[in-house]
Amino acid sequence: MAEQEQILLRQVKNSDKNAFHQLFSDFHDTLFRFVVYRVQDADLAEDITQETFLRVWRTRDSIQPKKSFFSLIARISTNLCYDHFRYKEVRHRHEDLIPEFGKSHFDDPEAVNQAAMLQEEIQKVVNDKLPDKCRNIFILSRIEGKTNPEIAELLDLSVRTVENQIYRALKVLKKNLKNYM
Amino acid sequence: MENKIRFLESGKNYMKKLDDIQKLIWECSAQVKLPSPPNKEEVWMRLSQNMDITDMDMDMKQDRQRLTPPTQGIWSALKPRLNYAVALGLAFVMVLPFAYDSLTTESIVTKATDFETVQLPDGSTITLNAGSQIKYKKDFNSDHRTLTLFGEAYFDVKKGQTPFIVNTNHGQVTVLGTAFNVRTREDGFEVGVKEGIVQVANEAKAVILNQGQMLDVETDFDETNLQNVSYSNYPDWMHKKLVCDQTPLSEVCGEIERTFGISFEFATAALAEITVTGVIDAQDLNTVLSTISLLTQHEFKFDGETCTII
Repeated sequence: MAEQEQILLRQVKNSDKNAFHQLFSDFHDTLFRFVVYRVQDADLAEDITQETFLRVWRTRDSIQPKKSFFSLIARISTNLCYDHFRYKEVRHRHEDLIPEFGKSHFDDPEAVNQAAMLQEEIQKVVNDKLPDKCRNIFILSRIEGKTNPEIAELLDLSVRTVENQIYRALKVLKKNLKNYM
Repeated sequence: MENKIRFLESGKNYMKKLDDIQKLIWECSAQVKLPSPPNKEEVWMRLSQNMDITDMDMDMKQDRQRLTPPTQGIWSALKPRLNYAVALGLAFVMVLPFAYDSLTTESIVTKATDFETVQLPDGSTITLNAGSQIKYKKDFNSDHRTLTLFGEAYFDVKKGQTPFIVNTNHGQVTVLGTAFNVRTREDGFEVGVKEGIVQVANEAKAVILNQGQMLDVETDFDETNLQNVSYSNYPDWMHKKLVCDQTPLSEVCGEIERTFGISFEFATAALAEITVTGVIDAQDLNTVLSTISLLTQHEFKFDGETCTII
């Protein structure tokens, strides 16, 4: 798998459009979910996903075939998300949206769907509080349902690093959601 | 640990090492509902088109870089140090707006061999000749009607208060409502007017073209260079014809290459200089090649991709 990825990347470096199509097919859906989790807007996520692949193609000369392709597109798409937030000047508004945990709708006795609410809170903490690398791993694990060894291979990291990052993510989440519990 | 809450099914004892809150977060985080990804193949079609545009743009930039004369004087003494700073600054300035730009720009590209008619938001229609591209902002027709053309296109512009502006590498064409053709090539620029009035301008000069007039120059925009469109079915390519009037063979072959997606080679360099006069019916390649052969009095060899004139 990883070896095949290297071969494809080398072909893309040589402007092979078919090889690029292959990589696109393998990674499009994962990247889309990855982005939509962050921007919460399907159309925007579609644009950012497409722009990410386009940038890879535009800068194909500088591809390093030995490096993980997903790390590359995750980084580009994350930067594009930041650009978007910056452009819209919603970045800090976005942060303001994080409710003060403990005070929010939790007190509401009508709030039946606790799981859905907690889910929403988790998503906010993941997007706003986790460092990029940690967030990428957490999303791959929880949203894409990948196993730690799979993530390690995808991002070209050791399994131990993946485990540590997930543990770290959970610690941050717990700290930020403590009052909510 | 702190408040031991569990609202998901109890009794699941896996992940012993995590405490309950972490377990809850762990389980809950996987339950997010996300919109499903768009159809991959449709996205690929659009992406693939944009990739072609990118490649075209890059080729063009490289061409331009080759043409840029080297800078001289004090600047070149300072340059080695400033190079990196300038490059960094430029990269920064260029990259930032790009993300936004790419989300707001519409572009249409034709490959070699096909041409395409598009309707713009203001009701104007554009027919793009083979191997051409137009780009315009998505807010076209809100307070401007400006677009960028690479290659050749025929414009039928709806009358309106806002000027309709075509930017090209060679200059700018401005109209209010009319029908005209613009052709940009690496070494040439041609604008011809079928109906109405058109203004053509670059930094140095502006020229007004009336109905039935055309300007075929590189940069020398001047009234004295105006000529009359000498045939009625202008522009020729819209009627699948190639009208040649003392046209160099190399130029004629360039148009055929674009129209049919083949390439030409000349056995001797002198052949490229022969001029051709006549109307070539461009419906099918065989007819075109035999007409060329007849007009030039030279044989040709064609292997399906490359045509060699001998």
